[in-house]
Amino acid sequence: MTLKIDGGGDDTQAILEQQRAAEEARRRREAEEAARRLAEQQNAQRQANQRDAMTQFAERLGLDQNLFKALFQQKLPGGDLTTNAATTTNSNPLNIKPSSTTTATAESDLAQRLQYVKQAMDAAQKAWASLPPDASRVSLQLDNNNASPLDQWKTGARASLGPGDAVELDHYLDDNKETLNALAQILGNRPAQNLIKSGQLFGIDPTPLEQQLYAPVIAGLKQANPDAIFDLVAVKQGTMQDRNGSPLPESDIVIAMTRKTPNGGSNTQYLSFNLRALLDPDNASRMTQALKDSGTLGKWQAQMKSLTDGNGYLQQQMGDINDPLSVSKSLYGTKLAWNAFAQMDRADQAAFFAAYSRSGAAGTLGELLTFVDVTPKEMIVRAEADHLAGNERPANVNTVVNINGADTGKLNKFLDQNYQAIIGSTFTQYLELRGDGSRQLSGSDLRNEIGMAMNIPPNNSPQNAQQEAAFNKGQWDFYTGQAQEAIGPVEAAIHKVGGDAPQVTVLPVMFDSKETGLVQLPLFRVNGTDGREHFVDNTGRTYSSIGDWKDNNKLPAGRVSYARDGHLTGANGRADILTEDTHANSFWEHTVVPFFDKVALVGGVIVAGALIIGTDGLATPIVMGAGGAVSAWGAGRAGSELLDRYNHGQTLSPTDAQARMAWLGFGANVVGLAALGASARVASAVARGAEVDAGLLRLSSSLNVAAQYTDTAAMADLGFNLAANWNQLTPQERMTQVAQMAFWGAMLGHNARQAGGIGNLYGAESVNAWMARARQELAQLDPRLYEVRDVALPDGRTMKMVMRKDGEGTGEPTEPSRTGSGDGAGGDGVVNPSEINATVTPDAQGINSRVWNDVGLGPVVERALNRTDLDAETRAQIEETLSVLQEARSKNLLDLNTNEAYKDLIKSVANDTDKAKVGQSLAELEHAATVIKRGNIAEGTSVVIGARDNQQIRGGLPTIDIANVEADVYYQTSNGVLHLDEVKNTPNALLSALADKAQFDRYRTWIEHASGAQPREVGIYIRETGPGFNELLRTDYLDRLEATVGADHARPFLKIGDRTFSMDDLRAMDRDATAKLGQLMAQNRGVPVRDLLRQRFGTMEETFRTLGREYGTKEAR
Amino acid sequence: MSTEVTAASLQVGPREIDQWLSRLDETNPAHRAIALDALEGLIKEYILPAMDLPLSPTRFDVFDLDAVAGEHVPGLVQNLFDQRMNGLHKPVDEQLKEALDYIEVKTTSSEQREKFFLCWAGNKASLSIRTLLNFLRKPLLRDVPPQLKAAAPEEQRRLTSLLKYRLPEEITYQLSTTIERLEQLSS
Repeated sequence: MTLKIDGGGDDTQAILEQQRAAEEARRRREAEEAARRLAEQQNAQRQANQRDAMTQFAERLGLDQNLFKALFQQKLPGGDLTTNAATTTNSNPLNIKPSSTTTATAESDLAQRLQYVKQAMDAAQKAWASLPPDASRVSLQLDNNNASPLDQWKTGARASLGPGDAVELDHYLDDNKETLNALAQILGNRPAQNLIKSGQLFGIDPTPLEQQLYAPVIAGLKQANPDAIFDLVAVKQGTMQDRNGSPLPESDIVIAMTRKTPNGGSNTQYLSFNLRALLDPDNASRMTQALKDSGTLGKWQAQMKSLTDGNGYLQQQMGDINDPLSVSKSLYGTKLAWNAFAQMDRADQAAFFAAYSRSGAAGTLGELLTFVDVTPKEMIVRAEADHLAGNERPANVNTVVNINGADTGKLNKFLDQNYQAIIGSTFTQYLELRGDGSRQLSGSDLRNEIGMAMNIPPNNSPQNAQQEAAFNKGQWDFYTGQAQEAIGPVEAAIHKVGGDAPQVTVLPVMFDSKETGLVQLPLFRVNGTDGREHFVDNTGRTYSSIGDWKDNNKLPAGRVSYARDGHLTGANGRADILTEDTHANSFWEHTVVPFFDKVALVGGVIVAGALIIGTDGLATPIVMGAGGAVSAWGAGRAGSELLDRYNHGQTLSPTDAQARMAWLGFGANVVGLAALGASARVASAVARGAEVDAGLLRLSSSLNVAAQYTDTAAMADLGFNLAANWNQLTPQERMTQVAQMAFWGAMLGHNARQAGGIGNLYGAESVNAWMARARQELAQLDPRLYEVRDVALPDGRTMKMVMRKDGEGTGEPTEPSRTGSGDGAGGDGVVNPSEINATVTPDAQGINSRVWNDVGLGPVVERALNRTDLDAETRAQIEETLSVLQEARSKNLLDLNTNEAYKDLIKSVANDTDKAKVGQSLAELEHAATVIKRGNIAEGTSVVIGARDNQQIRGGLPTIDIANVEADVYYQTSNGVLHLDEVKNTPNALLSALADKAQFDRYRTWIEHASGAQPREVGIYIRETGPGFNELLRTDYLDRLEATVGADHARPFLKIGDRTFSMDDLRAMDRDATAKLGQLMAQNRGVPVRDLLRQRFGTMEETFRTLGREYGTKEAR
Repeated sequence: MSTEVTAASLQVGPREIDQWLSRLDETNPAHRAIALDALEGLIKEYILPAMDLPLSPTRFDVFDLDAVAGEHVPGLVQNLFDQRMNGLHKPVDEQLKEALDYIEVKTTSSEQREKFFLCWAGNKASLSIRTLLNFLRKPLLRDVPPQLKAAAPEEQRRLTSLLKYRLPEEITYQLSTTIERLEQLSS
């Protein structure tokens, strides 16, 4: 087409530009269209895959497919399990665990998942155990001439500082040394001095007189509260005001009075001593009256005479020293009067205050004292002060220094050192208990899910029969008030992108910074009505992709970890996590547009951090979490309540109904109430200040979780115990438990669906169905270890609890017992606990040792399964491995005829006391199991363990035709390739095994002898990722491996732990690690290079962290 | 890199040998003779002089560098040392000391440093030797070209003559497997 253009060249240029623009617009439209089509295809494929997964899973379970699909489409908490099951089906021709019922595989899967969760939590707990305490106990020597009190506190606190900055701690204590020295002076409980003689009475500093009066005041308080316990607390705060509204000193000494409450708990009140009130002339008449009423006037007069003896001038100036009213006409006189009072006997002083207190607000000693709030953060040193009520002068006083008050960076350094273990447990819980699948949610289900994801404790329990009915049907909002306000924007945003019944997946996000500590936040992935994935954060902001979230979220500057690509993927309990700086760390946003929008953290839980960040009334504050004891069952949700109770002196005892609820939400749950007995003791001690803030919460919660997570059946315990005790629970307790079951119980819910279907997610009736299933699973998972006991709670209720038979710490599990116990306290549709026995089968563990009797290994297998000297992870791996091998036997996939190496290995696993030998033997068996689980063994062949060249190989495999070549695992895959795998327990074992230095060269010869139809490959499996991982990163070794076994650079030939590596992977890692080490050496001059290696490249995981990326590919063990 | 084998041309690392071989044709007897020259040169220049050093107890090293250094020299640290070396070219003592100081290997004498280099170079040369033998053996595995059959006796003779030396086990094994292949061609 030709256009006539007026205007010559310029117009031509314009037309060309228009054409270019039009062309560009067309291309852009096409690209967008192509992207849209691709998204549609992907979505369709995803849906198709999901349908396939459903079909396959339903087939495996022997369920009616239509029914199954109908249930699935209705609402399937365990949707992710179907995906997982399909994956298993595709890659694994075996049911991993043999079973006589179709549900055994699902149970096995559940057990495995629970095991992963437990392992992750164990790792996190182990890491948290190394967190230095927030407070340090110091026994203060009052008459130590060699070390001042300040120095004693410094030294004591330093000992508990861990990685924190000791200099900062010293500065913090030095900044408050006047208050601390005064505290030490008061604690000395020395007789009051004549302040006239020392020249201190008339100085402008009221401290000397004030110090003399703390002890009499405590004596007065003690007289009025004989059961109370008293501490003195040096506090640093700027919020206290006196009765005139004037700010009190930046640091002060307040009296902590802890009293027992009627229900057995305790309550602490903080009282500031108001010297100005004491010196108020108005008090003179009150003082006079009190002296008269208490019968102490004469004693006071005697002290006055003693003070002024020989000082005629003073006696003249002060008026009649026998008359308090006369003396108190001047400030000096008032001081003198109280100085005299301070020198009276404690009993007389107490009697005086009893009379003095008759006017003024209760508990204020006639308004000499002011009630104040003191947060743990504000405490500097807390000291026992009961002795001040009498004349005792102890040599030592127990004190606690609050390390957290100082900016030592302790927590951040600790987090840096333990980051992966700590955040990993959260991701593992989400990965294994909830998975990446979406839940179709609407109405109260959606709101409750959001609330739980935002870590908000349910606060709207049903109050009448009608509401109870709605609750039972799953049509009840668990949240009201401010909590609901926080949920609302998120709900709206999810509906906006996902429609009326959106498909939602909750993803955890872990954020940390120096200012906030470690905070867990939810991120909601929503399947949009446009066929694409959208993301909604905890503030209700929407994002078009995970990249959009990453670039535009409102998180403050710090570090953030999230599921890579916005999907919870991973295997063996290890989620694929991406950790990076928030975009707010960029120069522009960090320095030019600094923001710390606390709203961005609303709906998060502080996993570790000393402060609670308020949101200025903007909905729910982020809450203090449970620290290291983060529990899959809602730990941390009630942390803020506990802390709030603590801050306000309310009891933490579980015998108190409100406190118990907080503990329940905190991660205990019904089964954990037994542990609360221990916690109660802690809480009691804590309530009077033995510990402060996060430290106490962590300690108490750790006790709970330690008791709770004794093995993988803990979550089944929850269902059982909830069932058994349903009638004993308050509505609030029921709601909390149901909420936790609904949020975390995807797997149990899935199985319950098979048992009878689940109507609504957040409903008591549905959860009841889960409970029934949970009980069965509990019995099937490990019936030998449990029994049901009636446990009396201090409040008079009796709870049925599943407890380990060695639950009191009496030793290892007893011999298998199929009888169990339980007395059947069901009701309300809840299954009777005694039915637990009915579901026990001889194959409850998935392994029948009798199967191995034909090869003489029955008792050996039994021993291997019941070893108690191995850690839980190893025991689980033994069970899993033997389970796979047992199943493989029945499918003729494991050769038992070539040799008896497998026998030797199983015997070693059962009997060897040397853990290294057990590890090596287990590694070989485990790798054989892994090979079988991959599911691509050539038809008609089986896997041979411990094959050698001089053996007549069975299992359909050719003889090894090179002299002195042996294979730990020998097999052929369905593509015809013969595999010879070498297995070692650790990287060091691979390097140092020296039976034959030419072994790898022999492998090369074996590979070279292959025929065209049967190519040969050598693989290496190393079970543990350390020690010695960094030794593998050596170019020479890679050259050697490449020259022997690694012909194809892209073929994964080396597996370490759960990752497989090709030569290209190893080369890249070797190159990056060498460069990084050089950089680290330059940056850390003076630090020995071997220390850097140990710290930064010690294990595979540490190396990945150091290099900022992961190498290789994940594959289940 | 030239295809001519000289003492200087042997002063390269295993990776360079690999690249060098990529320019040669393993089925060309003339090229194979060059590889044989390099093989003989490496053994004589780097392996035989190191044979008095302790042999490594590990699977992947021939000579025991840790024993010579008096302490363990981790793999990544050796990588850094590699970067400070110019192939197998022996540096002057001052340069060698600087490189060893960099990787925090303490040495007390130039003799000790010389031993360290000898050991390190011996390990590197053993890798190159394996690469060269793989090159020589590869066309002998199947469908052997006729020209190689003709050259086989001479190659067999040259390789067999190397077995008269005391050599590390793995090198002896590789030589033997290659000779075995050549024998099969000759018979």
